[in-house]
Amino acid sequence: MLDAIVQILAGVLKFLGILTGGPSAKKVEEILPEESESEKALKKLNGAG
Amino acid sequence: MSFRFRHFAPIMALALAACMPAKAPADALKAAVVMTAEAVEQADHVCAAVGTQRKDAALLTVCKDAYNIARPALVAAQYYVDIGDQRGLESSLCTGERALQSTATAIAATGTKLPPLVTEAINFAGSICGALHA
Repeated sequence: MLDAIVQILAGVLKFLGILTGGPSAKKVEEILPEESESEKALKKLNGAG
Repeated sequence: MSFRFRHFAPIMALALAACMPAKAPADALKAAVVMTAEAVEQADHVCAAVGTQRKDAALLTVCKDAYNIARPALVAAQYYVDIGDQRGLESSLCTGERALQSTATAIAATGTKLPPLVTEAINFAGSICGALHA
């Protein structure tokens, strides 16, 4: 019963795009670049200062 | 994705995780990691914009440092989900969530409204952390 609920919810999440199915579907590395925007902004601010 | 659907899914996953404190399902954990990463990205953008506008080096430094903690932690969290290491996941996801929380606190202290995803991710990942820790 619980397995069925989990499968249904996983299906809903996949349908909504929160989950994409495989372990390598949506990577954190792709979402978060190595250098943050705040670091870039800080460099600009210090450079301007 | 509509606003309603975007918010419905995490709530469903959160409810699911809350019902299963001993062993959260892998799909909910994956959702928590990805959602937290997207929230970190949004919070970083907001922080950069606010910090630049206010010429606030202290704010930018807090956000930069938190990002540099959150990113490797969430990369590790995704790896731990893939290999099914719940202990490693707990540690890394919660580290990422705390880093996001510190960015959110710094942004909120300027009087800037946080993106809804940031607040939701903190609640979502925080609940998952609580469930894993139980």
